[in-house]
Amino acid sequence: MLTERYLAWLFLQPHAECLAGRRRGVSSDGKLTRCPSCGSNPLVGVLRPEGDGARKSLICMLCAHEWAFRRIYCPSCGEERESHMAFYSAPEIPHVRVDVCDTCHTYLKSVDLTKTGLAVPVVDELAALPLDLWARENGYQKLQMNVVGM
Amino acid sequence: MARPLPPFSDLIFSQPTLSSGELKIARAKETRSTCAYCAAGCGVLIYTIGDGAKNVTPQVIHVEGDPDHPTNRDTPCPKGASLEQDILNPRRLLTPQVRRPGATDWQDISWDDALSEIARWTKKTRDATFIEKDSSGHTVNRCEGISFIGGCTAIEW
Repeated sequence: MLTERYLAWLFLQPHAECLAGRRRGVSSDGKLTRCPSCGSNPLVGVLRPEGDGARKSLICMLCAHEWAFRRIYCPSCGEERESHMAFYSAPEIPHVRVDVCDTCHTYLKSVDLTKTGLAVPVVDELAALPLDLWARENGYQKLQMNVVGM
Repeated sequence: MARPLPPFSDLIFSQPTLSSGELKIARAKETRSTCAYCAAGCGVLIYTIGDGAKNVTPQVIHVEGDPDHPTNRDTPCPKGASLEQDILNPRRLLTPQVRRPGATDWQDISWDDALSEIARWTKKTRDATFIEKDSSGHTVNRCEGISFIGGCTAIEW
């Protein structure tokens, strides 16, 4: 093997093996909290228009795979009670919302494509930094930090 | 309370960004519920705002189909799609209304008066048009003077 590929393999193989151990395969009940493709954490949620509402999906932080996910379900602790789940949004950034769980105080942002179909989820997640600052100031921790460390 | 921004954020965000203190953050909740109309029982998501304080009724801001509900999978029929209007539209009906024969406009009527009058008319029409047996002598018990419009598409399997 070429040296570069060998080195890349040396560094990636344990991490890939660890991720593969976390995979739970595919699931149709919408409760899959890790990427079905590589086992990594989700980075951002997406609300895609369907019918007169929206279907939620999650996007993987590593391989960018998008998989369908249930509404009102915490990807960190599996909380399903509506009394413990909420979302925060600001009219200044109308298409990004902060989905929180008040049981584990974890949050994930979601990009709402029903508000603007032109948004690109991973990019708008990055750009909506003020929401991350607000969430951190208010006691929520992010499920998975993005490429700039938020 | 100034917090240091993460590295490279000044490179990525070329325009001045909002600080978190300038955002008018509001808390909202999604609640699963069932459409109020027919027996299909389609699922809906009701969005409410409110800080969850006691004795404060949450305010409905949006109603949409529930994508996880097995019956409708996010697509309600036109009746379900209008549930938000049933709650929020200022022009929604708040009392029953009646339009008298020959009249051109609707008048408000109370629930008690409406129900009594409907019962009286139903009984009177039924008595006048009831067919107990058909021409072959079979018992049919038909009431051909009353028809029924409105309702959903066939959902009884």
